[in-house]
Amino acid sequence: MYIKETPYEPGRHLRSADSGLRVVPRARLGTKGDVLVAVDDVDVTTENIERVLSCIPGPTQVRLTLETAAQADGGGSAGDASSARRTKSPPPVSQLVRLLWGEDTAELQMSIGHIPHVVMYLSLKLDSASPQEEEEILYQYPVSEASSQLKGVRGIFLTLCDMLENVTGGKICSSSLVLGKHLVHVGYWKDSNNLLVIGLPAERVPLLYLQTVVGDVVRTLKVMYGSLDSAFCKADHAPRLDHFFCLFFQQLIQPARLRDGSSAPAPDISGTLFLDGLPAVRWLTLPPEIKMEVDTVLSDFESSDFGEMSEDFFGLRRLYVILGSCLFYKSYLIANHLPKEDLLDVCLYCQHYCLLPLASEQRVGQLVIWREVFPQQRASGGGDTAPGYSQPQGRHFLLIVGLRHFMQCVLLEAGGCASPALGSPGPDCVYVDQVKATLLQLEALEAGIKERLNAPPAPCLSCADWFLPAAAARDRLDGRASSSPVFSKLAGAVKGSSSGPRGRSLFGEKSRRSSPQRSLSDSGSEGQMDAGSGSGSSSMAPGFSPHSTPDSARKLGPRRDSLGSDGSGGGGGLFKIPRMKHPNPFYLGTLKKTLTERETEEMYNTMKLTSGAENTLFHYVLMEAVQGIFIAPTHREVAQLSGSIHPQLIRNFHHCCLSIRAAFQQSLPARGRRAADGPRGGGWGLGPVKEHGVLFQCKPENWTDQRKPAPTMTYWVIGRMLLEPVPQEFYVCFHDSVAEVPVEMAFRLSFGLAL
Amino acid sequence: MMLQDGSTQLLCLTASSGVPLFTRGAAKQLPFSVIGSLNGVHMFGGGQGVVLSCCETEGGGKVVWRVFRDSVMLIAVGGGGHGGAGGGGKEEEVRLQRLLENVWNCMVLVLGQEELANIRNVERLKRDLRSCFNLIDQLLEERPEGILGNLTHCADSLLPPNPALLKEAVDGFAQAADSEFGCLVVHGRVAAATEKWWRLAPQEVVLLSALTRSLSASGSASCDYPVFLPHGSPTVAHRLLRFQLLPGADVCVLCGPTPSLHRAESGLVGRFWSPLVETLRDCLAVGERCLPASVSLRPDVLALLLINRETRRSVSCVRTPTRHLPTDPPLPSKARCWELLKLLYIFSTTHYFSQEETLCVSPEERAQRVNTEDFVLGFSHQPIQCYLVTEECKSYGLQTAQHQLFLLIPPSVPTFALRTVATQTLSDIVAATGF
Repeated sequence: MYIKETPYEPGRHLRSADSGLRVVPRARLGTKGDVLVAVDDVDVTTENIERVLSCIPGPTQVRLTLETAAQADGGGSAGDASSARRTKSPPPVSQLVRLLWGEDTAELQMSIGHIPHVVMYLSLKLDSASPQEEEEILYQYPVSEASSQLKGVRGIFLTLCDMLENVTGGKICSSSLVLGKHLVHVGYWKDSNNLLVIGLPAERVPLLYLQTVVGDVVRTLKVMYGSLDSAFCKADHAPRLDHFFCLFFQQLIQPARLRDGSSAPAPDISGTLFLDGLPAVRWLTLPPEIKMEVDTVLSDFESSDFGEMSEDFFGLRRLYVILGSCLFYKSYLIANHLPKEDLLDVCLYCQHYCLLPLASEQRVGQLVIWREVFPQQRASGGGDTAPGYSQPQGRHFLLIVGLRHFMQCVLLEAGGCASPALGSPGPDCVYVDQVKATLLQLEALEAGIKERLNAPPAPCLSCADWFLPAAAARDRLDGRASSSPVFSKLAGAVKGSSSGPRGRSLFGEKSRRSSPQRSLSDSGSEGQMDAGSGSGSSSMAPGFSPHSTPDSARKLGPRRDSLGSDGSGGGGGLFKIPRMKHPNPFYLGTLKKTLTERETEEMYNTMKLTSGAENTLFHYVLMEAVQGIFIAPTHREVAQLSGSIHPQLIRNFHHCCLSIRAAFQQSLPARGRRAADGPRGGGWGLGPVKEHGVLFQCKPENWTDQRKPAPTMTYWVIGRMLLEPVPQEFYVCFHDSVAEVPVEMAFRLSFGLAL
Repeated sequence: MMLQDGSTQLLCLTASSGVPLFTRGAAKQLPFSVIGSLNGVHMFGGGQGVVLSCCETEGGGKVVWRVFRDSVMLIAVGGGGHGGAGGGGKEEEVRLQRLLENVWNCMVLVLGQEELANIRNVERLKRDLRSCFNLIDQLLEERPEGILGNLTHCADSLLPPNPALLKEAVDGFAQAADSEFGCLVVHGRVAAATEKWWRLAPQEVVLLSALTRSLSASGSASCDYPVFLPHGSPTVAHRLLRFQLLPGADVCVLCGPTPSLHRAESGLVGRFWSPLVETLRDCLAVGERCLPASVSLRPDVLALLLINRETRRSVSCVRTPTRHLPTDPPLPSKARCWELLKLLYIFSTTHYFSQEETLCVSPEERAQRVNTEDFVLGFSHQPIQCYLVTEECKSYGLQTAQHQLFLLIPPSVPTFALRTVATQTLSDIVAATGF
């Protein structure tokens, strides 16, 4: 792995893997005048450099620490460009970057030393003739007190693995143990004669998601090393595996620690588990013309037509065939030319090494990663090969180049049509340069992509706090509007920005009236649903749709009610006929420029996913299983909806999605799962689940008013699995005032979601 | 594969030495070496400060361990398999955990805690334990259909048309028998009981109902059976007097040395119960519906389980739909409905609703519960309702401060109407019966 950091950094690190120093193109080793100060953290001077280098046993992984000349000589050279830039205070290096470099792993690991967790690779076939102490442990991480207790009972894991298969006819997949006060779930993965055992604290990974976590880590290892055996059974892999599992445990046990020194909000563990566990990559839909240009630029690169840099030019056989590539911008996938399974392989690797958050948080000066990979679909001989066609028996290499907020992952094949790869080749500088050129070319499109990211959320989102009367009470807004918390919140927000460019009557021609029924406590009374949708649907209700971005002073015109429910007792609008053809909500970012104001206004009104007068949508996740992508509100959209309840709601949503997805997973045939050859839970007694919803109730924190009961807000989290027309999973969270039909919402959301 | 799909085997050993005390369930007993290993891994872990509680295999096989009073080790092995008794995952684990708890309580009920906690003579204990097999087999086979108390730890109840009359009779009868604990069991469910009876631990009420059912099934008109109460009186036995009033209706009292069975049978039963024969017949007529005719259930309720969280009582029933068109897809059978109702209960309580039992939960049981509730504790807001849509039917769970309601509804009912069906069913029953 080669990582180059931003030019602002005083200490520079280059991490080389697989093939040692010789493959590092000289030009990339740092600028002239940089001083090598350490090799593998051993300080070097001109005196000892020979000795230190001689200790490196052949091609191996070493870390070089470089210092720029300016730093080394005390900032003497005034004209030095990098020192001039450094006069602006450099951004702190996030913990994440440090961990990626392999720094601080010991310290980070120590901080979770008291929490029991372990990974062990154990041999099931022991040569009993020459028993040796701990001979069966092929690999173990970490070495801490809590893990040594788990190591001490490895006999249990081996015995159970051996015995239970005979008893119940299925491989072992999990055990639950109590260590002191900690409940620990242990996941198993049997691989021929060896057994991978991963122990994790139950409060981080619930049992129902353990299999997904274990399945993903196994697949990542297989992508990186070909098989578990080749990953664990080579002694010189140990330091790299230590780093691998350090990242693994840190992400699960203390994800917040990785974000030290970064502005991003601390991720919630359920959210990480859920989103990372989806067999899909987070997708950002771009306006079509930008998308087309991005695709064209990628295709140009993938055609391998490198002009006078290409092998053809010199009459040579090609080194690599480019199988495809995918492009990330600030952690969102914006283009993909890889088959789905390859995309998932690449994404698992990027996820594991936290490459995606890296690019979203700070501009990456330059990142080059090169390694051999073993794409799982290709390794298994490919699922749907046509008769007469067989997969070429080539080797595969993954080239990842990051430049500022862009990151491109390219899958290359050597052998097959291209010349076979010998040994462990390093990154070919022509290919690296071509990717960099591609990224530089793409930077021209960055403005458009940024604009898309900064566009108001489509569909509109509401903040949970607006629905709690407490918020309205605290805000002490004018009495007329106070019956609706959403209304008041909006009114309050609007006051400040009424001089904006679009400062005309925000609520249309209708007078300000309170919103459809919103009692102090709207929880669970009987017939609530009916009443809610009923009043919302009376013709031309004085409605409005609250938006997440009140400061943008968006049009909140009266809602067209043909979209509303028919008021026939909880009818969430099963038979609604849309008044106009739905625009693709994702393309509005630029479309709106070409529309008249009136049309725009109408568009905004139909961008609501929920029915009823108010916009009641809090959050959503839509996964397209075929393409391996999912969409969800962007980080920025979520960050804008700050409040005290809303972040809790998002956490709760993700936690609930874990359970909903587990229910879906149980009912799927085994091959539908990401870890295709993995163990799975048993028959699902309840039968295949199509839809599953949970109603939640929340109260404001610190409710001190003794006289009145705390107001409550109720909302649904619903998951729906669709198999037709394309397999999709849809998870949505909305306020409990209007009955919704999730299938319809999923349709509205996914309409036009095309690659 | 040694264990068949869907079958469950129960192993009981001494915790200290691993001597097998008995095995029940499953046609073919597991080989001794397997039993020894299953016990061995748990013992080994115990020595290292690691308590093994559960293990899962592909296909839904499960093993659950638990040691009671440092003396008796119970192990349940579930064969898993599709469409099997318990389904897979968490549901099966909870089912087996409950099984072990119930089996232990059952052993205490019959033998008393003293004999089990301090095993002196293993051979004698083995012999004595045989008297529990009838009850244990009922637990293993989840017999009779429609009794959910073993799972919910709420007394399966039958709501009679005129509860006041029966309550009065039970009170009078118990008082005359020098007891504060009396109970009328109709169709295996509690129809009326004295105040004190309801103050027994929920598990004890459930267990005593099971015992009454099993004694009643033996066909005798009356019996006098010594019982230990696992929570209230684990070391001192009481007498359970049971009298059959009509086929399907039994009255029982828990009492001390007096009165004798004969005196109670000849002097008291006739005096208190013969005037109420017609009332009892009305009560028997309620049948498996468990709800009096005054409650009109909506036609779109296939099955229901209603729990009163305060009194720890439950009513449940599975109905044969009346207005089912032959063109509609077939509805799940009655047995399948009971199965689904149990699974829905376990699913909802392990994922969303906590199954808090305020009474009589020992610290050790509480710890056990935390293990099964690790997921529920992860929510930042309180789940209050949930629903599932499957191919077979739709199901709805609802929790209020006082009740939990679980419903099965035919797939033809639109999903958005489920909540209305549930809230209306709850209010209908509560309004009509005050349950």
